[in-house]
Amino acid sequence: MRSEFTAAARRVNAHAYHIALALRRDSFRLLDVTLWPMVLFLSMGLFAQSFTHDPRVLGVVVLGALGWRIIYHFQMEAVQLYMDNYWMGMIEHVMISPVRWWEFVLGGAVSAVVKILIIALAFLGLGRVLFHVTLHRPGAVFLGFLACAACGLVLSIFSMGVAFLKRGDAFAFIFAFPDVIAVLSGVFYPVTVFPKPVQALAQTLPTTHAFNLLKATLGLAPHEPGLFLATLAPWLAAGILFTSWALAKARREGKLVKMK
Amino acid sequence: MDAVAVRQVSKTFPGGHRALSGVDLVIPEGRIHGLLGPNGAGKTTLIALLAGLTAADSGTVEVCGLDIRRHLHRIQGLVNMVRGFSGVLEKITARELLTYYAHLYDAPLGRVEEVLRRAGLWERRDQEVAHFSSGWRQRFFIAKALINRPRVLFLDEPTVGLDVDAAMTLRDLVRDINAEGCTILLTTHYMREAEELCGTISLIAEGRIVAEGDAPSLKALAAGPDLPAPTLEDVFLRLTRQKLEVPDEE
Repeated sequence: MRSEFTAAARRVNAHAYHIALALRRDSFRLLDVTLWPMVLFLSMGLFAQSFTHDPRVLGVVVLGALGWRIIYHFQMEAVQLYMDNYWMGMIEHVMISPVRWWEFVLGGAVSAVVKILIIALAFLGLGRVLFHVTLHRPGAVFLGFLACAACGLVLSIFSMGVAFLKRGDAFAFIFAFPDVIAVLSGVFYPVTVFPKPVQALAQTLPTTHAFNLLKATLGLAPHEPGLFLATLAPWLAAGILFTSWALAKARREGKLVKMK
Repeated sequence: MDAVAVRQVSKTFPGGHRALSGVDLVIPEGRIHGLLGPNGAGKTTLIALLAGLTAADSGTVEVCGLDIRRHLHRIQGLVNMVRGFSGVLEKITARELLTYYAHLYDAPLGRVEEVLRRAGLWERRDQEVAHFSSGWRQRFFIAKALINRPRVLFLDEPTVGLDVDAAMTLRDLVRDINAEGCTILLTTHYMREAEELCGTISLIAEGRIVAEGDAPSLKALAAGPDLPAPTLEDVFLRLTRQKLEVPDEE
């Protein structure tokens, strides 16, 4: 008899496979790893370069833009898969299977890793050629990116809960979620630019400390991995509780199936 | 062992719509059981409950001898479902989509070819399911439903909208699947289909099972001097004073 671990791994793989099919067949989805990130990256980078050639400023643009995309993809992949199935009237065929909500999240993460590798190659390559940005502490930068991925996963968990509850109405909210969080977290700037109450809110977000880990590699923020973990843990716990509750509520209310 | 055992199940959705009210239903293993009733009678809700897609407010639901509240995950590996009005993802071929489901159910990938051949879809394996006709699409969903070798199969109006040939082919498939030991719960508007396929039938109206038995015993409920050869619709009318809103028979 095959183990439950193997079965869960295959369900995670199923979701990654499904996302890969959508990416291969849908040119619109391909823009998500090509045109749109490049527009963000080049517009920010060229704007900054027109004012300064300070490697720290250009570095924070490269690292911030990539960290932002990491959060976005780790958050969006799973929920996009769920919504695709929902919109096409197939969600009950997925939810009747022995799938668990966290397998959507992990399947989305597998897909996000692949997409991020493509984007990272483009951003870091172009960053070096166009903006002369080199990574002096690649290990620390990698840890910063891992922190962004963890934040994306936590947002993905919350987003799945919202999708279970709100179904088709969830997407606009979910789509805006990572961008609003990134802006609030001081993606390219210190959160001290915000009014005090917003600063206090920003300090509770793990994303703020994940971006700080990236900025720390350029000497623009203190290196505080403990603070990152301390803010991540409660958000992760809250996300797990929220989405478990949301799934149970959605099941009770018949939201996992499209009735006629 | 009973494949399905539903006892005193009630379900009210937000907004106050009472979909099921004190429903009892027992289906022994290996049977094709029909659930016959008009739109809004509670057929789909009952299937959604049995499939774990929604939860009862009260009562107990057991599938394959397992309580659905405690063993939902295990039950979901033992059942599958075909609906007559499912959409389908675009730009994905039958083989690709079935490969996805094979992973979801931890089925061997060789099972994909097996179910494609079983449903008569092997020649169309690399065509997009979204471009299939209704009949071929329902065959696809039968193939999908067989991917995990289910012990209980829920068929929710599987022949709705199909032409005569496609509906007949589907019914033959259903008989074959049942002959291999799979218990089938079939909801339908079509009385002829229910009579033809189902060993036993429950008539459901306004969330209640109003009668249950094989077709001859149900018809006997309405038989009388004024109606020597009643149909299932006559039975339904006599028991509920409601007409079955039967869509065009294929």
